[in-house]
Amino acid sequence: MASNTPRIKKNKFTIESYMYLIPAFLVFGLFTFWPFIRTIYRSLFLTDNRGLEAVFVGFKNYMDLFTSSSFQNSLWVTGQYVVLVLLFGITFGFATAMLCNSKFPGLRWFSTIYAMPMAIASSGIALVFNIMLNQNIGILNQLLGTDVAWLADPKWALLSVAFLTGWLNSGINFLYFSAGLSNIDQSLYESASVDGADGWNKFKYITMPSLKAIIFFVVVVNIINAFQSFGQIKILTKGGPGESTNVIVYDIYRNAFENFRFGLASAESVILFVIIGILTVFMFKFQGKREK
Amino acid sequence: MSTVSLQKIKKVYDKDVVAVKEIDLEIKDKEFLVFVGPSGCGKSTTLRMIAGLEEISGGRLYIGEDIVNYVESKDRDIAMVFQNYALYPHMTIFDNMAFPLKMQKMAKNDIKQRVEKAAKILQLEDYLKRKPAALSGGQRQRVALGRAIVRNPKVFLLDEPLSNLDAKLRVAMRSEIVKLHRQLGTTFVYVTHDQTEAMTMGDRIVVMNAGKIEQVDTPENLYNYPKTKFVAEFIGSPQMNILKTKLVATEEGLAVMIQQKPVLLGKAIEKKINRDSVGKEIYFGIRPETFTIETASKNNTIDVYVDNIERMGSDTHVFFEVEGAEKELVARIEPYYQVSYGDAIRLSLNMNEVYLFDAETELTLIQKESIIETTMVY
Repeated sequence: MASNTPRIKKNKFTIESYMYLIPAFLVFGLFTFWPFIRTIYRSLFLTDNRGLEAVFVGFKNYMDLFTSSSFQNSLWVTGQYVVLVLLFGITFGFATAMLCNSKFPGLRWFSTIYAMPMAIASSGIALVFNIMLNQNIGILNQLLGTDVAWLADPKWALLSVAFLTGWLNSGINFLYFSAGLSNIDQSLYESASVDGADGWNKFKYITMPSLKAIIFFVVVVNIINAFQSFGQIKILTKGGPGESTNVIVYDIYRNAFENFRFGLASAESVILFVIIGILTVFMFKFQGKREK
Repeated sequence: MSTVSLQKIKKVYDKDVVAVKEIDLEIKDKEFLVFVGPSGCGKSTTLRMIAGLEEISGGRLYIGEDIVNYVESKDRDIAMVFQNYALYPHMTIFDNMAFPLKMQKMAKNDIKQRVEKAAKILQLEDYLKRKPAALSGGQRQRVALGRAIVRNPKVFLLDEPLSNLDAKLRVAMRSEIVKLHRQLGTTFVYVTHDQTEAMTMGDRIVVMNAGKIEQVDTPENLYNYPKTKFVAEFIGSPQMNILKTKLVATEEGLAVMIQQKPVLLGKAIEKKINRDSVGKEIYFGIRPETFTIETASKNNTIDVYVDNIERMGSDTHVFFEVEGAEKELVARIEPYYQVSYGDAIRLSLNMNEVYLFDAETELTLIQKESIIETTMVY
């Protein structure tokens, strides 16, 4: 067999092979790696109001952050926010995918509608929600006959924003789950029917185990997405009322572009990166263990 | 009692595609019944209707005494083996086989006992902790059977269970399934497209074509007394030879025209033929194994040229052309005849073992009491 495969000499990495990588590296380097490295570097400095490094302070920015009650609040809010977004986004995406897994007239219509949030810009729809959730003229209060300040009441603001984000994520989740569901061999369901399984048992013993890999993937992607949401918060609540929706990304924005403390904002970015990194690694480890 | 009764059972897809046309069939208790036919003949659809996986468009289906048209599969007390086995990929072999019992909420100890007993019958004891992906095709097939037998269902349904196996394994599993049927003493309904499987396994065989039943009979009767040209051609390997020709009356008796020569029918056959058919166009059928090589020219000999030869070892298949045949004819002869391509040979036809079918209706022209009987029965 070995004699048939074309022989490639080892160490024959000419300059040519690297040249093919240049365009991709250039883009990544310029827009991802370089800013990333500069962020780490800047997080060790106090900056002037143009964002240039002025005074080297070592880890003082980090120390300040960890002792600041505002940042601790941001961490807590972000945690709640991520959990809520996951809950809404995955539940809604999964439920709609299950609904569209059977054949019925108008299936394509419903599929399109459920997948739609994928194509909607978060800031655009946030503007619409801003009106819908308005305490006085918003449709939600009119429909429910309530008088709730969805965005201005600290009790509801985070929930409202998380709901919107979850719904936005549900489109792509719907797509992933639909793909996963259609990949399940129909004869497994038939076999289970003959074996005496009812709908719930089929769901529990066939659908769920078959979707394990997809569910994991969706959870990872949704967590990363949730950590990074910004547009809808900027438009709907601006981190408020008080600091009740002040997630880390929004706090970074505020520190950098409102308070002009670029060093501090950079340090926050690095912390956010580390948190997401640790979570992702942890989830992959966990998943690997379960597979065994 | 685990009889299954189909009364005018019909399946129509999308309002106008008829997959199964009003079939009537009584499946007896403890019987091994085989549905056989070409792909698309409706045999799998019929089985799936019995299983409850396919809605019944018309007619009544009884399992035992009960009408089950609208009973869900899970409540029909049937077990089914699928062509692709349909094992649950994320469960171990033990869990796969335990699944139907678990659905019945049986006690864990009983489940264990039953699964282990089934595993023993099927020689799967060493694999219980593995997942299906780690098993060979034959083993997976056994697991599928095991999952079916653990729960003593009323009826076993098997949908082409051997077609994913290689030829050797198929032959081995064939007799294993027959043995299993004998051991369990339950009704088996088996679907296959392979006439050899049908002939070797079935107590009775249902030959289906284009959504309807051509004939229901024992393997011997199907072979010896096919009711239609379709059945005659479908059963037997190599296939029966068919010639389109004429039935004529001569001074010595009835004859069929073969290569422009009237060849007299055997006396045993002649008695059973309806005289109305004389002079009509007919299909003349003769099985490959009833030819013999002859030296002297007689009334029942034909002279042909060898077109092709297949040596099977135990016998030799000789192919040749005859006027009026839809395709090449084949004769199965003893292997010690040294024939080769292009040879002129003389073959004699056993005119007592021939088949005649009406050219229009394709129904047999040979009247035999037992044929009439069996048609009435099913």
